[in-house]
Amino acid sequence: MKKYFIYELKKSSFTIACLSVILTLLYLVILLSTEAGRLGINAYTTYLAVPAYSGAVLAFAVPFRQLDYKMKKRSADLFFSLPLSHSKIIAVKFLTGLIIVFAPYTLSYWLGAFAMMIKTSLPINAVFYIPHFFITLLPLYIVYAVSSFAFTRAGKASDGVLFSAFWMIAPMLAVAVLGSLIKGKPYTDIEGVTYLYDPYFHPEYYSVFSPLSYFTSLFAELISADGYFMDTSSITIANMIVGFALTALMGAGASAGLFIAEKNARFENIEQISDSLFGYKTALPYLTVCLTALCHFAFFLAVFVAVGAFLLTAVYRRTLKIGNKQAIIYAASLTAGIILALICAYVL
Amino acid sequence: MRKLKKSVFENLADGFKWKIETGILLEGDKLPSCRELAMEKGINPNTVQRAYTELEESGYIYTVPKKGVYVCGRKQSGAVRLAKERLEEIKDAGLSKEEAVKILNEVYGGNND
Amino acid sequence: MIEIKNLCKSFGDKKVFDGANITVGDASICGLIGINGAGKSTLLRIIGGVIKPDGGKVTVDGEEVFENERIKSRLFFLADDPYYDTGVTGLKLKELYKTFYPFDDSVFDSYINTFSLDLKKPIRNFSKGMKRQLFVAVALACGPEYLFLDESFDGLDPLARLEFKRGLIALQEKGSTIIIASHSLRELEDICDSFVLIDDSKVKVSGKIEEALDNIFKLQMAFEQDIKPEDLPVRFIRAEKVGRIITAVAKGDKQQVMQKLESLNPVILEEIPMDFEDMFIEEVRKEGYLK
Repeated sequence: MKKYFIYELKKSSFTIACLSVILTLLYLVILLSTEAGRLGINAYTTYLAVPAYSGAVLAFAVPFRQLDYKMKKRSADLFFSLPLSHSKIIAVKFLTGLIIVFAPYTLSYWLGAFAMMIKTSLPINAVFYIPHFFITLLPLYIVYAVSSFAFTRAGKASDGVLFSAFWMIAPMLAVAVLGSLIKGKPYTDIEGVTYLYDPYFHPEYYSVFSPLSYFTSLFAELISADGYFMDTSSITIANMIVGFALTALMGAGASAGLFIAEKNARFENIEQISDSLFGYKTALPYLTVCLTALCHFAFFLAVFVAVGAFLLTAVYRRTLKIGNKQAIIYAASLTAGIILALICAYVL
Repeated sequence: MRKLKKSVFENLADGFKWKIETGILLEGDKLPSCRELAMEKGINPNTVQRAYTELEESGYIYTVPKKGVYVCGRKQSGAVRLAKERLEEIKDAGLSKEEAVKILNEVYGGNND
Repeated sequence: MIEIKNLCKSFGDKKVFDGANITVGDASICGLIGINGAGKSTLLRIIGGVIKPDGGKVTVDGEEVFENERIKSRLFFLADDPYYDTGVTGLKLKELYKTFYPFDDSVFDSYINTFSLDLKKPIRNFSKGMKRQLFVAVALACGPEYLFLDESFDGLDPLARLEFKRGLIALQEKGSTIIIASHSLRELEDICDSFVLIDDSKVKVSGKIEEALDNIFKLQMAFEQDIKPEDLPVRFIRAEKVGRIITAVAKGDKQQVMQKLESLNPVILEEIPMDFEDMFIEEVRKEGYLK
């Protein structure tokens, strides 16, 4: 296993080097092409966001490269016949992938940070770079783990990419629907501002990418030496905490699930229709219901959801003849979504 | 009885028989070892061994343990065997003896009537 | 020794194996034959530990193969279309296999020289035959105790095939057991000592090639009176009559069958020789694949 890990690392070294260079250049180009002095505090947010978001893109996409060996019969013929258990192979691939994400991230982060300190004349609490860097590793890992797990639920890679994308936004959609259902009870905060839209639910804090984004905003304020959190209400903080807890749970579940499921990984499912519960089976009704329900403010948008859901079903079954069972699920989800939308719009 | 296609070991054995009968291989000549022959032709050594066994049983070769396989000496002439085989085929095909002799005379030339 | 007892495997509704039994002895080269879709590749994947059997026992040296690292380090499965990462060169491929198997550089290099392959080039630029040559070189260099080859003769030129066969013989001499699935029955007849014919989710015939060929024979005959094949005192597995000439295939004791037929005073009675390929066709034809 150790030998194989070293082989994988060596094989990926060129990729790691390339990504490091690309990420660093990206950071430096953005840094040098804008005038930090004029942008003030927001500049820090922008600059910190560059490595964080490029890291997020890597964390999301690297599993597709690392784990697609399980999605093709040809490569599974090789990897399943090697004298290494399925769990060990996926562990090596997973770890290598993590390095492919973290190494370029680390390098670009610190090179960028130093460039920032040299370039700008704004007051800097440079010490906060350190906690920010370490804290962002966790949400990056969560994105990576969830993407890895979701991707490998599929029978083929293209399905897997869709599954990963779905799980990134899945909790956010539920929170958005929940928020829509509870709206209508106007809320007045301590300062006397009345919200028409329910202020308890902030869906934007519930995607798997979100923690990365708000950790970055928070630390931008600390680094820019302002010393206080700008208009961060306790409700927002509560949303952040719940959102982070949720994604952290997802990350932990995905990490464990990846290895547990690997014990039952079977060659015969490769390249077949993706029938996992973590795939289309859940995603299709879930997406249909949530997105239709969210059309409560403009019902005509539901048409797009209906068409999209049908197309996705066709992608799932790999045919336009989706069959009775799928048709029923499709119709039922759309109906449920419309009922929810009606409730949002008229009842509450 | 005719045999058109033969199994691998029969082909091998027949090849040696022919070489021994026609005198290409002489008494006391050493044959390649089972392994050498298998390697040369890409044939399973067990199959080669079977051909050698067949040759040994019909008296074409003999084995000196730890030294090798040697040719026993000329058996029946290859030409005689060939003639017999062919003539049997011709007979089966329905050619009469008289006609056959006529053709034989034509092929060999001369005037022996 | 490879032992397969009562193997069952289904893919969805399709039964690929339903109670197949196979034994392959040590230091033998075994040809795995069957029509397209008979399950040759599936069988190799099962013995190679890629696929888990649904039922029955698949053991190599007494140990189950699936997820068994110890046994798998002693065997090597070369797929029909072997995988390599995009952009991987021959050298990198060698590195991969080196991390898993005892790799003999000298064997590898000698094949690379014979086939004059450029190890610094990405494999995707190789022709189909060159890819095969490379993977055959890898397989032989790994020198596994058990080697499973899926159609590895295909796309090789005659010279490469000869080299390949020589390599297999050398491996067998070291005591390795080799199973080759192929449709090139002529090649198999040369290189194999035993064979397994899969048909209809089961093992149809297996054993030594020579013995199987001795056991099945085709006859051509004609009699004075017009006799139907069914009325002859011999049970044929297949017989057809054109005019007065009967062509029939029988199994079993040739001497005995011939004696019985001779006693009827045939006008013609001759054996039509059968090679491995003819045998294959006859064995499978009975099942109605070829009419």
